[in-house]
Amino acid sequence: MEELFTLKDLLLKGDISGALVIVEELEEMSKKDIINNIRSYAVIMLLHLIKQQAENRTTRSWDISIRNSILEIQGLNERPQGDSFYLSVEELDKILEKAYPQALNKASLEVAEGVYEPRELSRLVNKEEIIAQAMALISLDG
Amino acid sequence: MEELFTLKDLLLKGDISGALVIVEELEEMSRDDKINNISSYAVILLLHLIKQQAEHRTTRSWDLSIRNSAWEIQKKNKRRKAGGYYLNSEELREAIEEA
Repeated sequence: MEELFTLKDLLLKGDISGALVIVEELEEMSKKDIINNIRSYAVIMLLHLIKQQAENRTTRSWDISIRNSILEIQGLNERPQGDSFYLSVEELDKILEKAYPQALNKASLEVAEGVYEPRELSRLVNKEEIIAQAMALISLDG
Repeated sequence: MEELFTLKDLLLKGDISGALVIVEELEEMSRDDKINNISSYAVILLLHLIKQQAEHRTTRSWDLSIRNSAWEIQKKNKRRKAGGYYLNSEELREAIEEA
């Protein structure tokens, strides 16, 4: 909100290059928002992929959690015209990497009734494989 | 986000009056957001004030809910850098009436 007041002042003064600086700041804030939002769904998605791999089974509830988080992530990343995305594949991959430790922490409370510490659990699953799986799922068309 | 892309295009074209229209739209969106946010706390605040008045008593939990929601509303309405408030008392009253 404050940035918008500044922006308006700059425009009324005719300061286009000053205004562009603010617009870029706002773009960055908006992007950060999208990233944070996607990350929280990435945590849910990875949590369930970790559980699937660690316990070598799935449940309908896990499948649904995975599917719904994919839909949320796809929706958040899609621009309204539906023809392009806010974040690139590289940026999405970075988000998944960032989300993984949180997902692993949460999974440690649930896998095998919570007997594993996160570090022990991390040795039982293949991080690269899970992230690649998540990436492939996000990239699928609806 | 989309509005920001449009805004940037307009600025790069030197179209200041077009840019101002978008900034005003963004201001309005931001303001709506603030009002929505404030009215959800106003609902909590009023709920407990109604309970106090209707039952002629209070509880620690009601007092706390009242104090917390009043505090959230004050915080949301305060302008960070410039000082001052986003909504004046009339606008605030309207938001609370609606809640």
